Amino acid sequence: MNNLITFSDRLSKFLMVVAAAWAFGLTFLIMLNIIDRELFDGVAEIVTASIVIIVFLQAGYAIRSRSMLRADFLVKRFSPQLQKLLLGFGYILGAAFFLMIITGGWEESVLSWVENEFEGEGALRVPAWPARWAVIGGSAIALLNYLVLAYIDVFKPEYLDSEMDSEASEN
Amino acid sequence: GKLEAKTITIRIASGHPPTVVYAGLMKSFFQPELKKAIESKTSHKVKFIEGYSGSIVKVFDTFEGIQNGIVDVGGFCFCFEASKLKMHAFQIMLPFGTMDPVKSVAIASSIYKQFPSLEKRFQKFNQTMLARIGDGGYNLGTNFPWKKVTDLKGHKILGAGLNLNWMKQANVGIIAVTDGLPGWYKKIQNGVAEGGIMFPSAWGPVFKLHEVGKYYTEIGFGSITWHALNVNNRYWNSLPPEVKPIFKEVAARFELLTGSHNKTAYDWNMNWLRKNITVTKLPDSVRQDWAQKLAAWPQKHANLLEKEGLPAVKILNATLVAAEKQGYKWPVRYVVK
Amino acid sequence: MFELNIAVVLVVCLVFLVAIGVHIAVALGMTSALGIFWILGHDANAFRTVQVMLAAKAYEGIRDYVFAVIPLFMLMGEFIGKSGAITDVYRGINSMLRRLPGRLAIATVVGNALFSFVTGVSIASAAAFSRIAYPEMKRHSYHKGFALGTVAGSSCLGMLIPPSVLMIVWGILTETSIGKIFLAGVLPGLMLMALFILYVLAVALFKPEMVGGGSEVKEEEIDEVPPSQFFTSLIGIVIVVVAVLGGIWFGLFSPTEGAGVGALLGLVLAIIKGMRYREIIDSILSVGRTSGPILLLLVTAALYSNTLAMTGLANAIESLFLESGIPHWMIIGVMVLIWFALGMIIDSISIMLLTAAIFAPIAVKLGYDPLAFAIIGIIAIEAGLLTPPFGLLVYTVKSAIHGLDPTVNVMTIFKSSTPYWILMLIGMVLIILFPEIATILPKLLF
Ligand code: NA
Ligand code: NA
Repeated sequence: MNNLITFSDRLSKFLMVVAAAWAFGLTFLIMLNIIDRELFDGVAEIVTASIVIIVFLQAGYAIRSRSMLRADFLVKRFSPQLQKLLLGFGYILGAAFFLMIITGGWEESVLSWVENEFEGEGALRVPAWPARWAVIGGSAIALLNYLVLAYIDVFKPEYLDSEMDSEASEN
Repeated sequence: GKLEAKTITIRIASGHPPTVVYAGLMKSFFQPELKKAIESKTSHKVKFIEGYSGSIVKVFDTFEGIQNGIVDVGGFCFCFEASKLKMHAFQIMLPFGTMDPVKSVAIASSIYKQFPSLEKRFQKFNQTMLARIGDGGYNLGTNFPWKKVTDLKGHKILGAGLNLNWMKQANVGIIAVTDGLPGWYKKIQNGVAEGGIMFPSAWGPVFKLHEVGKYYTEIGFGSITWHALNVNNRYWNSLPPEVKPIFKEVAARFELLTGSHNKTAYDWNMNWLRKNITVTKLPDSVRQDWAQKLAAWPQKHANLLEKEGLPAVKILNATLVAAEKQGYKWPVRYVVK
Repeated sequence: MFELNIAVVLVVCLVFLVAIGVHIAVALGMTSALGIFWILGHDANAFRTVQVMLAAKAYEGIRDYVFAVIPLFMLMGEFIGKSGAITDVYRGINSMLRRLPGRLAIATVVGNALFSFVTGVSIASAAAFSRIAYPEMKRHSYHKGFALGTVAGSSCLGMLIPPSVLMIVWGILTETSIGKIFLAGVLPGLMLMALFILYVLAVALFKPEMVGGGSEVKEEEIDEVPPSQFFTSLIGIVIVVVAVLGGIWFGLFSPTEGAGVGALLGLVLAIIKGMRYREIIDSILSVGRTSGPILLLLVTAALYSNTLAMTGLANAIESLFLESGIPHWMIIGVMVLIWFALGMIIDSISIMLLTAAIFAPIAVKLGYDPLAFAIIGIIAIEAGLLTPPFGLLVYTVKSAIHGLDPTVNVMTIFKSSTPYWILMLIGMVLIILFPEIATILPKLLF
């Protein structure tokens, strides 16, 4: 179990780093496009597709590092047992949410690859499959991380000291 | 039993606000006429849940919304389905067609009759076409004055997608920019774009593009029928059988109205623009010349589609003939083999 | 009306889930799933549709060029913030304007207004200023809540000062000239800025401990900034802002492109200020961590507002207004209440999509000036972004400072933001009473 958590933590962090680098890379693409508008076509289309990919690459890490936004003003007054229960409930809902995105979207994602689906036609045809697969892949990591959080917070608080948790509290 | 009276709820939506002609006609004509017809001919009641202006689905995912059934009836543009409805934009592939929306709708209607594969294609996406929707004729609005085609070189021009080929394929030398219509104002204001291929209603009163682009040139790219009003199949099959023909009948009237309404509105909107900004008309010789430059494109595009197994050659030829039957004379008689 | 019951359940369900501490994005997403399932007739087919719709919105919900401004402006804020340039400027102002109480908070309000000229997205301002201004105010022993409330409150100016996404959407939905709405927003924006500054001054006078009073003398001894360092930083920041703002206003680039340019100029400034490889990587990763939660929230907020629209809430509201015999001012009051309430749970653009096309024609029929009404609507919707339980700006601020100060409670920020949204409502009432505040500039210039 410990190994699985370590693996998923490292994967989540790796994807977040990729997303961060990607966003940074966009600044250069945008700058080049401003300097010479005729250099490439379809920067807007690339940026548009990129934003979907960036969000879903970041999703797993956002969840695992406990950066997802929540209101705790009421919960704090409850007993520790009830807090644990509610926390677990929330994580299960989160896992269910991302599971439904996967079950509802994988067919479309396969089709986007098989049928060469693309977005935009005027300036540049951007293939749809990278963003569609980012949604599915990112949701899978998000689902996994909700399960990991549920496991740690409800059953195994001793894992609280794992790599990710200590790092998250540093930042 | 079958004749039991019920309330039929119709969730009707479009990514565009009712200020855009076709969405406006959905709200002001299709809805009340359908309600009136069903309630007078059957014992059922009709109730609408409206989702205009993208409040349920955006312009680019209305088609998918109908497919999924979150929308029962939706109006959408083929321009946002370049990948899924490649063949349906056939009128775009023959630029400088008729500027008369009534004729445009009639041409489209005759092609759909000759090629049932077009309507059948929608079944793959779990929906049935109720009506085709015609648009006003396309011209070019800009934030700079121009006289010759060469003046356009190097300028950033907005389009809906495929129609940008009217410039790109003629080697006008424009830089193509795409965005949903609501984004155009800011793009032109910001200089990200300097003009766009658009019909007069949107350039003027509806999207106020005349505020940032003071020049509108009547080029006559053509009036295109490339929107549709579709219904989700599961919803369609759940309707009482006596209601379906009423739907079809009102939809047919709606289809014709998109033509005749746009025709009347075109003159009104052009006059409106003349009062507010500089409107010029491209001389016929320039239009002729431009069409000549595009003469090879229909064949080129048809070849691509044929490779994918679509009957592009037959459909484009049938479209050329259908337009001529409507009394339209092509500035260049495209040859597609 | 059955669907209307669903709408009520959806609102109650969302508030409940948020209150018991479920991640807000998940609460929005799962409430939407429940709503779609219910609306579609809760059978097996409906469950399938729910999944397909969630997947479709996950892909389409954020697939928009405009959303890229968020991570890019966050990068700009991060680079400028970590470079120490803002610190220099704040310290410089601090020693120059010694007599002005609450100067850092005032600078935050003014700076935010300036930043608003660039972004048009209040979330971006809130995120950037949390990073730029908060550490400074904290260092000067400002009350944490007061400092963050000021950041959240003043970032609302973003939508009122042109260019603003809300103004453009409003113009399109209601067929009002966008150019005129832009001009109509200028004076109300400046008026609100003035009200915010007066509030900060009042706090500084009557509760000096909120603005670090007492510890000030000691700090000024440490805080002397060499003039050369101060001017390098000041000029650097001015160049970034003028380039980004000027570039957008003079049509060189779009807001998204402006954000990209701003991020790169911010990086250049950071390097000039001595930032090196390791810190640059840190800044990039930091944005990777903080932008994710906000963007996910936007995806699910769009989903939720689509689901509310599926219930027919809009139609119900329209018939409620037109068929009732209630007095005019009360109708406007109800509209404002609805905006304000919706602002607590969903994002501004979604609210506008749901309401503007219904409310604006009614208001015009009642004799209200369309331009003044546009500004009234935008203020009411923006004020809702500061109120619990959903107040997007407050959560943005909380998320942006997570690394700096994880101990700050969301409720503390909500509490300190309260005076700001009250001031916004006061400003709004002033415009209802004197529509000229909004209409005079457009009348003069058009
Ligand atoms: Na689509
Ligand atoms: Na702004």
